[in-house]
Amino acid sequence: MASKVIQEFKADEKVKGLARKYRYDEYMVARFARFVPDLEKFLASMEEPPRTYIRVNTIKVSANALIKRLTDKGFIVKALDLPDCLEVMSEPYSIGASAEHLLGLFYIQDMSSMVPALALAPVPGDVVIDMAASPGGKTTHLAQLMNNEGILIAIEAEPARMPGLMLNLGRCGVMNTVVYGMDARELSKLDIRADKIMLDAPCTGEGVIAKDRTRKTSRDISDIEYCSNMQTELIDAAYECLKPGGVLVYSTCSFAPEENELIVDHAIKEHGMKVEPIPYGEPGLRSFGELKFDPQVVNARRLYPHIHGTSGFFVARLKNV
Amino acid sequence: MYRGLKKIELTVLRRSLDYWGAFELSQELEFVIRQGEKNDVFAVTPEAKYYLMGKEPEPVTAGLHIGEIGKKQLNLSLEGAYLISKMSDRKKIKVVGQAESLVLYGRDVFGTSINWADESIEQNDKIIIANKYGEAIGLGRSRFDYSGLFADRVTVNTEADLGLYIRSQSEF
Repeated sequence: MASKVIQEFKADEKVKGLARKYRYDEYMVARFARFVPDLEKFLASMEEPPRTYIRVNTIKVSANALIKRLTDKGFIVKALDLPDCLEVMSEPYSIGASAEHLLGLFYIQDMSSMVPALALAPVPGDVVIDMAASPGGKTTHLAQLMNNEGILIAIEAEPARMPGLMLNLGRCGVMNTVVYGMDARELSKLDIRADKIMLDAPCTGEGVIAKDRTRKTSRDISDIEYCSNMQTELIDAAYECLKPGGVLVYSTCSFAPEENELIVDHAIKEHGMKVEPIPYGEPGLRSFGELKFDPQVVNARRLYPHIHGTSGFFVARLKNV
Repeated sequence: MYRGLKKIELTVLRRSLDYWGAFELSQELEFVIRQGEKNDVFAVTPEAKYYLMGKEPEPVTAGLHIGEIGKKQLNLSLEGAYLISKMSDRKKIKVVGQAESLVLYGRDVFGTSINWADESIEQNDKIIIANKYGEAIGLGRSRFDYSGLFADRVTVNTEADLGLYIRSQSEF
């Protein structure tokens, strides 16, 4: 295990007050205060019900055809700037229970979770690996960007999460995947070199507090350290399997810089990878407490609920130069 | 172990696809079999097929599960039915909007809910239950031939439906 420096800060009176008001552990708010723009607005936005977004599954249907079908059934959806992304403005019943969902014509997915596949931008003919595939949102998105051609290796370590992944791949009509049940840190055992790799790493999930309020208090500093160590091992494993000139997209749904910028900084310093710009979100951090990051790390992107209307997210596009 | 289809299996696959009016799929798609107690058939891309053959460690799954192949027929999966329904109307009924929801909850089909049926349907045929767009939402069996399908009673038994996705969600 790599040694990490997890940053802790003393909570001042303002932080203590906000932690009490919004029922967070103080350490979390003290950390957020160091990097989140407009802290109280941010905390208030996490109390709002998350917006519902869907991604059109272009393997099966066009956006216009889907919009018409959903509109005919009384749903109001709005096309957004992000390709194939629709926001559900009004639903007569749960859109997850609609025949269109069961038929795999769309995937219910937060807008922020659509950014990694778009940043990776796979094309037909690429050899692509998804290192943490279940439940399949990014895997099915990658498959549709590949026009359901070529080969997409999907890895899932947790057996209990495998049925959900398989169901979603089938529902969405994906034909180009080969699914492995294994620890992605052992990826090199597959002896495959990829053009593109998606590493949506397991994380503390700070970004999805609006969906799961228990995360305000259910994680502590040791969880950040555990995830950060695992993420370092995962990105090392990804690098080993990436072709020269290949692209790796690293993402998490955590705000913690030790799970985000620090991991990207490691990939730059240990493997000489280059961070390429992404046209969504806020720049990555230059520093956090005592941690100073490589200047390229600002090319990574952060998404915040109060700024972008999404779950919290971090994404970086790294090139193996 | 994943392998290609044997000659006899290819014949069974083609015969089954022909039953559904989708013989062309056997020429358009690549197929592999995962050998086991059941021989599951998957539609895959050429690249995935090349990668899969005899691969160690063995993948959990690959491509789109079309169904299980036996000595005489292919037992179609719902994913396989969807593929077929996009290119053929043979052995298919189409139900009205309200009935679509009922089928998705596993209910049998009333004849008055059927707004179109393939004339070749005979009593006790395996059939695809489709929505008004012709997309497979279930698999069923006809209680009557074409002429009796529209009667004011249950005329098609639903044997599998896409609503299984919702009903099984608590398991995931």
